Amino acid sequence: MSCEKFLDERSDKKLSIPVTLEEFKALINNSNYINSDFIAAGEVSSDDYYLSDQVYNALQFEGEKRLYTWQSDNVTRPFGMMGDEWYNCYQAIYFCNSIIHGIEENGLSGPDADNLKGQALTLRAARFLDGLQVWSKAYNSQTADSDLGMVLRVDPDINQMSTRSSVQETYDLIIRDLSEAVGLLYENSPVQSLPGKDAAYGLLARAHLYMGDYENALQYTNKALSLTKAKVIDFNELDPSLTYPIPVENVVSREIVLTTTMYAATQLRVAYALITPELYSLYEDADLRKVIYFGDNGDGTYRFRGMHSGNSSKPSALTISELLLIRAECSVRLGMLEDGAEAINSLMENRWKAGEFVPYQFLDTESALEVVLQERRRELVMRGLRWVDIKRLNRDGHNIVLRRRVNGESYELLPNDLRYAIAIPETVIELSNIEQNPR
Amino acid sequence: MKIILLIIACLSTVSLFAQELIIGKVVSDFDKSPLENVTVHVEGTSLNSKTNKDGVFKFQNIEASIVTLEFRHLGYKSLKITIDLPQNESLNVSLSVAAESLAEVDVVSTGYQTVSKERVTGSFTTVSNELLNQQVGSDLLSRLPSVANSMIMDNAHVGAPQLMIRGLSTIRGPKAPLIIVDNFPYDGELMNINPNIVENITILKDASASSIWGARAGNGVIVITTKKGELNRPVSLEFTSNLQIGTKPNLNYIEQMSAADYIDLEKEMFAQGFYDNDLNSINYPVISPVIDLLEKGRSNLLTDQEVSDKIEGLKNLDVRDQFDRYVYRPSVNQQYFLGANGGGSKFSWISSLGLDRDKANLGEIYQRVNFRIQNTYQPFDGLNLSTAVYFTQSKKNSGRLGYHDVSMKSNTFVPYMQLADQNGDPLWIIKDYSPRYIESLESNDAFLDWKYYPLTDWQHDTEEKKLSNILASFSVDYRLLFGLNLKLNYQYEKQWDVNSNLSDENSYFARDNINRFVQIDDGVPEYIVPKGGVLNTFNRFLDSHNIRGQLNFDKAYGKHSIVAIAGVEMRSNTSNGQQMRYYGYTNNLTTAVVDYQTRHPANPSGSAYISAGQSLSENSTRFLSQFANAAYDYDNRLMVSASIRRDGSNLFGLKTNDQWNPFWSLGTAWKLSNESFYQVHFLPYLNLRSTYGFSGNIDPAMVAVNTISYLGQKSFYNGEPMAYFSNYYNPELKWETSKMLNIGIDFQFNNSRFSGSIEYYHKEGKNLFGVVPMDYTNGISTAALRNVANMESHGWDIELKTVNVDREFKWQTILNFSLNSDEIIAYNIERSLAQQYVDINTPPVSGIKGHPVYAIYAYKWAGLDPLTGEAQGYLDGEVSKDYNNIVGVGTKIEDLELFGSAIPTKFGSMINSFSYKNITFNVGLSFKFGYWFRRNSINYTNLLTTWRGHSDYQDRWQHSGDEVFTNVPVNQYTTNSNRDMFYNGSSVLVEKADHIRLQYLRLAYDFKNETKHIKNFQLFLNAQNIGLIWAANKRSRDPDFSRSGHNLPVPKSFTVGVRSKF
Repeated sequence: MSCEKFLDERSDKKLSIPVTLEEFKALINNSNYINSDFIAAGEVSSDDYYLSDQVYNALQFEGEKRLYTWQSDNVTRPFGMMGDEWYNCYQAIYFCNSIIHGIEENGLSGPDADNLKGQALTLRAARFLDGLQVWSKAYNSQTADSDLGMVLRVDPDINQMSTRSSVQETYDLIIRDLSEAVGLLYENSPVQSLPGKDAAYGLLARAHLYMGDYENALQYTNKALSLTKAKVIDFNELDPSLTYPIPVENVVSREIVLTTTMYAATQLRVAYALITPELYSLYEDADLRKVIYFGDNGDGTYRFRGMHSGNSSKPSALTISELLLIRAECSVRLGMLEDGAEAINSLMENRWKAGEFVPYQFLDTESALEVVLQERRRELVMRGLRWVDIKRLNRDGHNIVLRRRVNGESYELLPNDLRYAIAIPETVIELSNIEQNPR
Repeated sequence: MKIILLIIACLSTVSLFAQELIIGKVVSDFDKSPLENVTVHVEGTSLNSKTNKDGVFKFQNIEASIVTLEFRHLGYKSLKITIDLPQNESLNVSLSVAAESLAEVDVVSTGYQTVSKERVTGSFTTVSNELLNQQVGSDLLSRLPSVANSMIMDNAHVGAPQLMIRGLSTIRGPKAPLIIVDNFPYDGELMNINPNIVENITILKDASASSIWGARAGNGVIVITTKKGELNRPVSLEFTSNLQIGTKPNLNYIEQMSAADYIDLEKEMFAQGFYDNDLNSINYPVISPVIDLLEKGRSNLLTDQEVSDKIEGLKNLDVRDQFDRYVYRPSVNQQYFLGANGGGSKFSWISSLGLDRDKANLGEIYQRVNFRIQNTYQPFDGLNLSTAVYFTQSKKNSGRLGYHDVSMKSNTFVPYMQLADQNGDPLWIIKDYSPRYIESLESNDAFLDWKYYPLTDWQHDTEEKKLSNILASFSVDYRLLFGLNLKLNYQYEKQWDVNSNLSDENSYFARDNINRFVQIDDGVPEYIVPKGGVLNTFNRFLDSHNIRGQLNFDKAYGKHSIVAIAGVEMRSNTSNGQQMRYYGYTNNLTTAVVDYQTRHPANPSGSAYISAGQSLSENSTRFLSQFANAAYDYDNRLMVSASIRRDGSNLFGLKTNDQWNPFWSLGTAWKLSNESFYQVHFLPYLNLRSTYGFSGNIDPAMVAVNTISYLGQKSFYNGEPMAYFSNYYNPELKWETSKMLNIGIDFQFNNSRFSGSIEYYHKEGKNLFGVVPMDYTNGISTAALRNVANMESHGWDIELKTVNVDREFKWQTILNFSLNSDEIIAYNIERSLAQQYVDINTPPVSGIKGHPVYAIYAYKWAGLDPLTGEAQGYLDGEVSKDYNNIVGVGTKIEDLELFGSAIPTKFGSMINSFSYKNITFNVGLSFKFGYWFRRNSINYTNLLTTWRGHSDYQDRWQHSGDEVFTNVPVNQYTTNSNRDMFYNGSSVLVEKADHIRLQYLRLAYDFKNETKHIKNFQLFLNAQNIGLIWAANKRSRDPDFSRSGHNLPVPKSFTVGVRSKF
């Protein structure tokens, strides 16, 4: 045996240098990184839930308390204690970048390689879109070129310097990546953990909705709806006596287009997060979501249990109901009231007790929009979407004021407050010298 | 030709007129064996000679009629003999051993060659088996720090205690020295080595000594030499046995909060409603017994009187008493060893059988059988064949559940936990779930009993670790021409580890798994996890091959002599691991099939996957090395040595250039006392040495390329493999190198009353792996390992042996004293966060130029606020309570208080031996100075969330004025984790770690020459781990056992034993 051969033996059979398509697929299949730990900080800061003083006082980390009360800094767990959401976000981006880069570098081609690249592009865009809603201001076409956006990492080179892009540049990248992905992806993915064309269109719809580009949002949501295999679940078929009544098939429910799960923030634990009376009062008795979504704690408080995951983990996933709600909102905003009503009604029929729902008929844009937005709030609870809705609605003048009371003290977050762009962890600011959000 | 003849003629003429010739032979009076390398000096002249292998020396050209010869040999008493010339017959000289009970080892073994101590330039420490055997126990290496120079056991860091030679050579790389048994690195479990088979241990301390081991020698090398058979020896037998009784551990060392304090706090928090959420939760989280009682009182299930009676009863409890009474027992270790050896003119053998049975404090049993046979066959002079087989079989069984094994919640429990009732009958404790929930299921037949009995559960949850190890070696040593020897060594090692952990159907673990997943459909239970036990098996197989071909050269030409070796070796080591889990296990070996891929509903709420517990691994390490080493000696006065080695390995992705990095060393020695001008008679032996060289350190986990690792589990979504990044592309990665300069002086005073060595060294570690905090926007890590740091350390090793009294009563002392200080000289990091330097659990690598490698830093302490009792720190130089910023980015590294090294900078041992007639008494002390440790204290956030308290609670600030006598902050609700983090990391909790420890006492009585058959019979008593005799900190904390969590000092032990030779 020659010396080189003797020394060529792999030192650990589990290790390999990724070069093949199968190896890159194994990386994108790793749902622990790819589909998990989407940012929860926005939901934690939202108004659909509250904490009792006891739970607040028992929160282990000061950063958790500060985030709940909208402090302007130090709102992250200590460095190294898990739960740094900036890190979670960019770790997934590194996976995507490595896959995209690896496919190009190793000259992998063919439909499977294209599809894989499309998946990585889509998932990367999903992360940038997710981060942008938490760490940046709501999109405003007047200031988007100067508002601070995400650090745009598109290369796995770990030695790059970090600089923050503008909100406009971040959206541009998201749209460019998703548009490229659409050309590469299969129409549907056989599993909900990985995106098909439907998911890429759905994310394009989300992004355009946030930007206030309702025409494009409508166009993309229609494309997504025409392709997706996700189906609306009829809540009449569900058993409210189960701990988590929404049924799952192959890990998640069939309403999900692309699985993404929020970081398991302590504040959002099922036993801790109590649903605000204001939200609970929005549901009519014949609305099945009132019993499917909410569990009675027996002391006049309610917990959320309407997860599409069959367990306590909270998907921030793109679902068919979200697509229908985007269709409804955009149609209404663009004056297509009938289309809007149809979209809303097709969803509501599956949410209300059979025969009790009286279909909406929209007569004017303003009241239609109010209905659509209220239905959006009722439907998309604990999905990580409320925060961005508050931000974009306040941008448009809705004047939503958030209030909390903790240990007898009141906290308030006024519309368009700078704190709507949550503080980036101080540690990463220190390590990278990137610019902190204006305080 | 003519000229040559003429010269010979002249020389003959000279010798004809000559002056006298002296011939003699020197032997040891101990066993009459010839002594090699004895210095023979003719008094009043510059004439010196040395004995050869047969102990023979020769002088010519003596011009006197009466001469006095002085004989000097390391480890022997010097002797002066006056003789008349001409000599009638060959002189027979017998030298007596200088320090009988501490028999010196006069050779050092590097694993490649065995050389006389006088003929080396490098730094070696040897430990004889007599010295080693002053301590007892089945483990060998743990005996070293209390007797060997420059060695220390570091307890300051996470994981097992770490042996270190001359302090640190690396920052993040492996820190363990390389362990060689005879010729090759030992791959098996070190516990396999029975201390009784050890002849001696050589510790290779400097680069010249260790660089022959190349890339793995950076942390020093320990060479264990086993006993060998010898030719021409009558058969002799050896029997040793001892019984060691260890006391129970001192549980009062655990700084546990008092039950009364704990209960008062629980009552207060209950009144505040702190537990209401847990009490109402559908998840039934675990609730403490007092909270359960209070809740029962509130819901009128118990009367207030009943509740308060019960609670008052609990206040007097201390779970440490319960553990002490019901769980811990004295340990009992037995050791038996039988050895035999003998040899004829061509064949020698040695064989031994060792039996060890250790029963530890918790009833854990370790049993070991060692069998060894070694043969040497010398068919003719010049050819040596030898074989050796060493076989070990051991078994380890788990025992009762100790203080650290029982948990109610988050690996802790309340201080009033009860393990047994007043009659000693086992009680159940709450664990994982609320007692309300467990009790509510008592009458539900679908559920198995869900109670946890810590006193009996160990009988149902047993672990067995079986190990077999076989080490077989073969060597050929053939003498070629011209002083050349060819040596071939081959060694094969195989180890089987077969471990099983059976949680039988009555164990809490099995019952909990079954209950968690049972589903009741119309009253009919469906057991998703089938009834029965859970069996976990973990098997590991290790195979290693070592082969070496080596040429030895040893020749003297007049005053010149050369000893050299050169060779190549190959090493391959493969290990396989297999882990399996079986559910529904019954005694007749049936198991059940379980669905791991589906998320099942779980009790009391939610859903979960059933843990599959399966994994496979396969690792293989390969080395290919070339080495050479030569020493040239001129007239036994001057010596020059050099060595070089190159290693190649398969460690993944290292650049080829680096794979073949050469390591080298140079050394010189000057035996001043052999110079003719040397006239210092009271110091008959004086030797100066210096060496310089490189060795390396590799971490098999370091890889220079992007690699991925596959998870054992497949994707739940599509059943396809999943992978993650295990290494990131890092083309710059290199092996760490350690460069060392060593200067030493060896001396021996007249009559060997005082001898020793003093050495100075300077070590420089280059390309050390260090943690670089990274902008984690890169998405890989908050920190990365790179070759970023250089460190240097320097120190002194002083080894002194004195014979203080040498009459019928003898008193001898061995003193090992080392100074070692290290500092970072370069660390390529631009900026870093202060909070990373204040790690409560483990002192972090400082990484700051000029600071010790491991240092204790702390937040500056500004005392307690006299009004509120809150801890106060500093922010921007001002007294502050802005804890978020103090522990956050508001504190810079320069704002922290640097105390100093976290590892000892001055340390050593002192062994005093007293003997009178047949009685010997040894006292072993060890000491560590010049370092710091961080004491634990109360963390109020943890107290409430994880139930982990601390006895400092009782000293907390409660009223204004308390700040005069306490530094423990007020218990303030609501808690603030950053406030606790500040206090736990503050300077007020840093203590000086200096201490002196009494390691062992040994009293032995020798029955000498009692009968003809018994050569020696010794009875001994030993006491070990006696404890601290002095510590700088005033809180009687043992700095070696100060890490957070609860690690307990090793209990004292007392031994009675015999050693005999027939």
